[in-house]
Amino acid sequence: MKLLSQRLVPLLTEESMPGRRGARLPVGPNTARPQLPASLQRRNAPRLPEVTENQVVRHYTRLSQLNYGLDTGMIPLGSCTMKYNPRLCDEVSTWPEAAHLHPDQHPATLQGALRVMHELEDWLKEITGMDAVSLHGAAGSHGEFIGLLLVRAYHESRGEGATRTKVIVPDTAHGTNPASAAMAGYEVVEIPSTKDGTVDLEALKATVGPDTACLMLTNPNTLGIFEDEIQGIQKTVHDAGGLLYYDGANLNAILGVARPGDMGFDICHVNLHKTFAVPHGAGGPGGGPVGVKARLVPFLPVPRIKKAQTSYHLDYNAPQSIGKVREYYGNFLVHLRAYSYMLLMGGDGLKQAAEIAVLNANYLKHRLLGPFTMPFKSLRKHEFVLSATDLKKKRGIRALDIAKRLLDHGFYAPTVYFPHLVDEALMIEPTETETREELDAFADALLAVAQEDPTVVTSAPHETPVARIDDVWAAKNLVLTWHELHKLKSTPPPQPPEKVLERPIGV
Amino acid sequence: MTAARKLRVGVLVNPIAGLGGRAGFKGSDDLGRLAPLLQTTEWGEDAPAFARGVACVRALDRTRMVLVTPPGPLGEDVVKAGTKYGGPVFEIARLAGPPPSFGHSTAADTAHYVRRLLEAQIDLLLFVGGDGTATDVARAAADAVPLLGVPAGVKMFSPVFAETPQVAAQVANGLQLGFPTRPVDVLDLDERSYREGGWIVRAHAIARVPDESGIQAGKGGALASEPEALADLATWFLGSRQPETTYVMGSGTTVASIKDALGGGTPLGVDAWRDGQWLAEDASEERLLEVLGEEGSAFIVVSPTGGQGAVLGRGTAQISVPVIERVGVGNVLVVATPQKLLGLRHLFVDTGDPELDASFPDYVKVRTDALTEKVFPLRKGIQLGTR
Repeated sequence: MKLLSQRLVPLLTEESMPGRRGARLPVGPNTARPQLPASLQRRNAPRLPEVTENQVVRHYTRLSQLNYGLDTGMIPLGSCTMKYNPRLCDEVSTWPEAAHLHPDQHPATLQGALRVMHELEDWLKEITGMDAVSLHGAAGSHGEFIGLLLVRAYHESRGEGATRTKVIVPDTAHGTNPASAAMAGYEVVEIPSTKDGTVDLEALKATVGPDTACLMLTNPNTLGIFEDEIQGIQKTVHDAGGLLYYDGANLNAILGVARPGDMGFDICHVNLHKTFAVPHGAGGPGGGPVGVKARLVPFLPVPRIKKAQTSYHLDYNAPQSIGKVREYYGNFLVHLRAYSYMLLMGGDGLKQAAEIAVLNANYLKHRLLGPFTMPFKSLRKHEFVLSATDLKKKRGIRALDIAKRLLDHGFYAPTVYFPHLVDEALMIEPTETETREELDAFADALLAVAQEDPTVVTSAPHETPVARIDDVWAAKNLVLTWHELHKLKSTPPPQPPEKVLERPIGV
Repeated sequence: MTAARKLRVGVLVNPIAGLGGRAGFKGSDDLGRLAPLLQTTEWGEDAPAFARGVACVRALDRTRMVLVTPPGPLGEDVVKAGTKYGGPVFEIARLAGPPPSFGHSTAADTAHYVRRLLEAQIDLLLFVGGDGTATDVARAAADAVPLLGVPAGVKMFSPVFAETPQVAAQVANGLQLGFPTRPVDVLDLDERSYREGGWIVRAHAIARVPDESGIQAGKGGALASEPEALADLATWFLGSRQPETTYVMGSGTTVASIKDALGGGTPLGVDAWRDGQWLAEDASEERLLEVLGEEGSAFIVVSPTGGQGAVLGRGTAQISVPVIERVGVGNVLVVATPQKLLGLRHLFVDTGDPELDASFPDYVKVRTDALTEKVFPLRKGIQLGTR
């Protein structure tokens, strides 16, 4: 069964015909209605679409069928950790005791929420091996930005703010790392990987110096490879006077097994929306708590949650703090989901999740090697990056074509063309929440695509509501409003005449 | 929605491309030396350009494009053989008079037919040949149409070539109207110097090629487009240039963007700039040493050759050992756009002086914009091919 609807859904305004109606019960006489001043009340009825009830029901049902999410199937997007989020965590966050709180309430009336956040900080300290955690970060990239402001504050406190101007990132770094560094006013120096796919320690040694502010690193890295030289890396950076920043995007691979704090990292952020069961992939809200070692605690953003005896309060007394980085204290309902997830799983459960995530990735990798190749080390953690270069050379099938064709097979596509150091990259992260049957079905689909007629694959998708999109044209002709769409439909772009003088022999 | 019109793809063949390789020549640029070969080669599957051109045309997607080709051996023969059992519809773009026969076409014919294909409003020019053909085509096209090379020559240094004829076809099949492009330097090895034991690869022209890397950036973040990246490099240079310092500016598109921002210089030559003045343009080694003088702060600004990663020693003969020694190996500024660096795992210097090569650091930083540098391992004295 195909998961995507075969038909596009017209706008309700396009389906409108005068006189079409639905029925609903009349509003009772005792129903409270807002009293608006006459000057604000409309004089003419709004021009709403005139449609029947079943048109409305079908419209929204079809729209829902166009959607693909974790409720419909696996999302193998490498580096994104798109695991299934238990309904329980969502349910807790909708409880009125949580959802109806307002951050402007007096802290005395928010003791439960403050306790949840304080305990979440404690648990994240334990998980990451850091000495303190701030929950302010609203996203992974926001956590990175806060972390880099902490780096700056630290160096400034030592009189080195003006000279330590460079942030080093490996070529496997997430794109947000150099972006965050640049946003924080740093220059970015990218260092190469070795043929194993890990940081080139000699290149790092040749790069660090008195201008080094910090090194940003994920471990395991974006190739899914654990940086086994992490001790040498941290010593090199620390000896040069720099700090080590841990991008927690890949924390799901090491939960309960290894801790950034023990590896020598000074600062880390955690993606609650990846690792701790908070839905993501649609622009938020997320959570990017930041953890630090003791020497950086004075610079953490304010306010901080403090516990005195049995009560909690917000503390603004931090003279060396980088200040406020957002309103209030982070996304509480996101914190509550993560807190619920940790309670649900327990310490052993979190460790088991990491182990199964690694097992699933390596199982899938094993099944897919053959038509797909995998540069660099073979042992991977939570994700792996395949290359479709053989298929490109032999059959003319590229990673992009495979991603499109997978949609016809009912699967979401992996991340493609990242990281840049793998040609025709297909980056796959199955996570721990997929069954072996689902993993096998996904592998079967990918292997089938590799065997299919190249003309079918390179022109895919064929069974989605929209065929392959002309993304170049779309990027150059942005249609962002209904009015622009309407204008486009009524005046199609001019097409030059096609003139054919001769036809090939045999056609 | 209306269906988009089909892509118009010009197909131009240099019939003699690749013939020189069979005789152990380093190219097919010297027609006099090729004469005996031409008498024993038949125009057909025996000729490299024919065989490789047909292999490419066979793999083209008929549903996506219309071919436009010159008559006879300059394209028609190859297109007809490649579409014998089906393929794209094609037009023949003729000029007055009969087309040149096999073995009698010249660079001038190539240029005439490139202009004729441009009149026929092509969106892409697929040419079959080697570096010499690429130079002729790029000069005649003058940046008016993107190029894609089907490799059939002896020398293929230019980053305008696809890896194989089939890959060229796949690239063309994947293009949509308005596809992004990026500028590249069309390079050619000087055959005469090569025969005499030299190795001078020069940038002869600037061309545009389909920018495959721009398809999808995913988690890595989008790479800046080539024009944006070149503008970023120019901005960086304008902000970081130092007074009373002489800058020896290398050749090619990347450094040319900085020269443009400074208002002068030559795109394919080596120039010297200091405090707002061009001290020398398209300068020889002697002239560079003259303007550098004995003392004073100086930098060399160069960009690695695309695909190979040569920082110094390939196509930069004027930036000679004495020039590098005068400036100092620590004062070589390497610049490149992120697209140009894609796929490069290391860079190399090969100045011809092993001691000088060895004095370069083991890692080199490449400036890609005002806020970014990329570190590469630097290999030294690497010999490419057979010298």
